[in-house]
Amino acid sequence: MDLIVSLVVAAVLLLAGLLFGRAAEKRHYADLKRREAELRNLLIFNERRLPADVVCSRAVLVVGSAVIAEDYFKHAAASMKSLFGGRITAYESLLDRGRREAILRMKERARTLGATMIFNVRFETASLSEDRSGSRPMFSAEFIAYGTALVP
Amino acid sequence: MIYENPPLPEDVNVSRDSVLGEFLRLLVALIAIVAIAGTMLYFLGGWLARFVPFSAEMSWTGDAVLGFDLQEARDGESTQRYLQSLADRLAAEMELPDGMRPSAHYAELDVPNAFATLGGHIVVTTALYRIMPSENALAFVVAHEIAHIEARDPIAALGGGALLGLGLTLLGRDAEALAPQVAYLVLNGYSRRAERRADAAALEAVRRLYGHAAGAAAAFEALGAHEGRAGRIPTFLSTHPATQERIAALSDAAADWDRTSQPLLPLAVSTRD
Repeated sequence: MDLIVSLVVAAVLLLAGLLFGRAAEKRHYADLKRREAELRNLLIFNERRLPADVVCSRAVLVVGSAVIAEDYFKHAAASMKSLFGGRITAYESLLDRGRREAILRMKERARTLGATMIFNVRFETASLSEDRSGSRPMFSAEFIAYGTALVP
Repeated sequence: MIYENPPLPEDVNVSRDSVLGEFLRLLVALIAIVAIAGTMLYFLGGWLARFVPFSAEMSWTGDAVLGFDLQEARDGESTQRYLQSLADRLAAEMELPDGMRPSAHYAELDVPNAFATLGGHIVVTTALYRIMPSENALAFVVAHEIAHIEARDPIAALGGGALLGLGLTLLGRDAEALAPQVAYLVLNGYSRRAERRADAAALEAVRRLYGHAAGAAAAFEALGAHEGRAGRIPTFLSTHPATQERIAALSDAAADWDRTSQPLLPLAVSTRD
């Protein structure tokens, strides 16, 4: 009886994670595409030095950060994948969204400053939830993108 | 120099494989692996446990009926002695190995049940005793449990469960939490093969004792009727598979019974007053 209850609870959690996680991911990707198209003319590069032909009056540090968490289904899928090995495809889309969201926030900040380019763009990623009470803590990560915004 | 940020292709960083499909495939594979490994561990544990001498099993358990809160039936001494003498007579017919003597207990319980456990203990509940139509039926149930003891099924179940539990413990904390539930499933019944073997041995014992095997099927029919009335499944039945099939097999065994010259015996100690 206990076994059945815990199996049903796990199945409900998995289903909820799958449905809500998918819906959220789909929404987020649509949002990302729209905002990326809007900000496409704000160029970003990881070059450290300014090219000689770029003219600018101001250079400002801009930062964008996003924290993103997995859902229950991704957690289970990743745990399963870590037993067998291979690409953890469940996390690939998660980290992709985090990176793109961080860049967009950095760009949006640069746009409010009137910048047209960001140079020396760098990424930092920090894994959160160092909670060791469970056998495998839920995964969440912060993405920070920063760079030098050039205002003409 | 021209600086530009062309749109990036969508599929570079993200796999478009179905995560759900992959998860389900891996889940099925994992369940299959765990089931196969678990079954192997269970049977290995059972096989090893049968090497434990019965005398060692008896000295561990002593007079205690392990895993069951035994309440001896009130005013049940004469019935208990009757059960013991029936068990002794059947054990003599079954030619148990030296030193293997079943000890019968008569337990106060509303659920009709009979089971054999570690140390050669056989428990018959008051509810089971009351619904037995004849001594022949009761003898079949008792002989069935003696056959389990002779086959060392209780200690095999314990050994299998122990090795399976050990395997789960080694797997890690998640699996360890499952161990009691798995142990419950495992200990909830012997294998169909063990049941069929015990049935065959019990039929043989009853046939030797009474000269015919009639009445054995009646034991199951009485339990089935009780199940219908009480609306709950007696444990003796629920842990034992394919009841209809077994009743048919037992009825077949009694086909040569001559009911006029070989009457069924009433229970020697009556509880119906």
